[in-house]
Amino acid sequence: MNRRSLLAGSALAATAALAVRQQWWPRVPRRSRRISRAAVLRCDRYEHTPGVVRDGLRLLAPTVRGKRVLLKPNLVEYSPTAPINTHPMLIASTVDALYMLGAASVTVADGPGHVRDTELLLAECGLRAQLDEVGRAEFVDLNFDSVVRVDPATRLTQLSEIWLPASIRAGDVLISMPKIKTHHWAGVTLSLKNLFGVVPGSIYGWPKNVLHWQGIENSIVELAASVPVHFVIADGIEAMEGNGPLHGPMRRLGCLVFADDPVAADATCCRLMGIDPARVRHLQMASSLGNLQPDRIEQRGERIETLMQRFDLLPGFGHLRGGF
Amino acid sequence: MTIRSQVLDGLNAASHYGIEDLALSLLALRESGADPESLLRSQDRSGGWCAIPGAGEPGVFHTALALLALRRFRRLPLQSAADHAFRWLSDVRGLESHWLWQWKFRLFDRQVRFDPSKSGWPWVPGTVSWVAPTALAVLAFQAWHRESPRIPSAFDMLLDRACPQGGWNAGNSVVLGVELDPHPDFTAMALLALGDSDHSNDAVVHRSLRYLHDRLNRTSSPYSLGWAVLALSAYGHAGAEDLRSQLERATAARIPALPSRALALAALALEQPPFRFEGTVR
Repeated sequence: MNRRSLLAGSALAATAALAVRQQWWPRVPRRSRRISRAAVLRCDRYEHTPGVVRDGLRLLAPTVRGKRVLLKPNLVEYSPTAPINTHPMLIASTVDALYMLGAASVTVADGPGHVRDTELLLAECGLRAQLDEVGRAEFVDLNFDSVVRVDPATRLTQLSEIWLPASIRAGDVLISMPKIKTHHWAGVTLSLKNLFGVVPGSIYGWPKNVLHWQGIENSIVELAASVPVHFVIADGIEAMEGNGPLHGPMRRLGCLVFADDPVAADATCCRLMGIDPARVRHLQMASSLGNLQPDRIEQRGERIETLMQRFDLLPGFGHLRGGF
Repeated sequence: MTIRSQVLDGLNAASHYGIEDLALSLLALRESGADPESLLRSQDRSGGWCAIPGAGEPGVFHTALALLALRRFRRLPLQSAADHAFRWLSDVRGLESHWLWQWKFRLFDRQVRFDPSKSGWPWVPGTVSWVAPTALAVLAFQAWHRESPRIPSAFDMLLDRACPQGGWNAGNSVVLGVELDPHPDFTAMALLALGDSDHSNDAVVHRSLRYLHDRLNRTSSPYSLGWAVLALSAYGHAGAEDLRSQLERATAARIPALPSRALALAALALEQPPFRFEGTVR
């Protein structure tokens, strides 16, 4: 290859990239703020979550007093060995901590993408028992909730309307509680990808195949623009690497991530996984919904570098490493 | 008062939200004066039924459930509603039945192992075929004794999507070379659909019956237990009685807390003689 063809090739690639970017860039609303806040707190055992969750919420102080709070964990399907779902003890600890901070009500809600029998999943993963023990948190199955019609915010998909569970729009504060995992289609599944769980299976089916046909990244960003997430508590105590979200091995990351901006939360989680968030397509596309760059994220708690690990990635996702 | 009577009382008092609740409740209450009028009224102009009337577009799963419920009410206006619904069902296909998508799945998109030449029904138009809507569509055609040239391919599709260890999940059995786990409700639906086919004695069916019984041995979810009892009973499987007792225990204490669809399935599964979707009687 000579210099001229190299230059021509580079120019062509840059033009193509610009054309693709211009397709989605103007369509995603701008919710950027000057600075976002994230905190990474060490936590190596789920038994320690009551104290660590209280510390994390104290550090970032989300406004929950008198508010109706909805927790959206990541529940997919049950495995006795794989760390697939947000751990029930973390969810229960969060319910307790929010009531201590004066929340008017705390509801846990999800619509698992692989199972119709959510009650079976709740029983087998232990969440039903944890919620019964806490005693003050109702669980809403978003797959079978009443629905409301929403106009697409970005038009990144071909969907002319989106039907969303009424409960997801009824609360005052939505807290996304993802499990930190790699994902075999989207690269990572964190607080934004977690929004697939708000799409009602009763309307769209299992798995939520309509979203895949509309493009996974496009659908994630559409949901992120339509469903504002106010706060994130990510479960990184036992994370998943490789062939996530179901079949990767467990990676003990030993921390919880708190953030007041889902984009900043996911960017922080990516950095902890040894992934460059700017190379994750849906995060790049959603970057105007929050802050992706480290100089716009006020980092509290542990330094990322001290906890960062190099997660195994499936072949085809090596480019996500970037400079990490 | 039997557990089943208590369940039926609970079902009478429960509110129904959406077509799944409504159709299953009609089936469960068919001999207690249930009226199919509200189900009839909620049929979409296209002929199908939406999951929730007025929300989104009609879906195969809910249309098939509505047809299965209406089949038990032999009244004249139902016939034209059913004709309309079957025309709609016949027009809806999984995208993989189109040659263009078959090429895509054969040449480029091979992470999920399935044979795109074997096609059933999608949840909603514009996506590929999945197990639950295919199984229920087959049951609806069988119940109404309607012919469809697509039924043999639907049987093949169900067999193709079975998990290697037996049972079915939503419809992805192997992804990126890894075997996925089956789920009890999807397994029961697929087994019911295959019950009146030439495949009812296939090895995969026997593996799946075994999976279903073993999987739910220590489970207390009335929804999955209900589907499982219906499927095991249809095959005359000895394990149906164990699960029926388990279903009684699981349901009795929680009647007010259960959604209509779980109560209705429990009521159907506790019928004696066992309830059969028409067409699954052998």
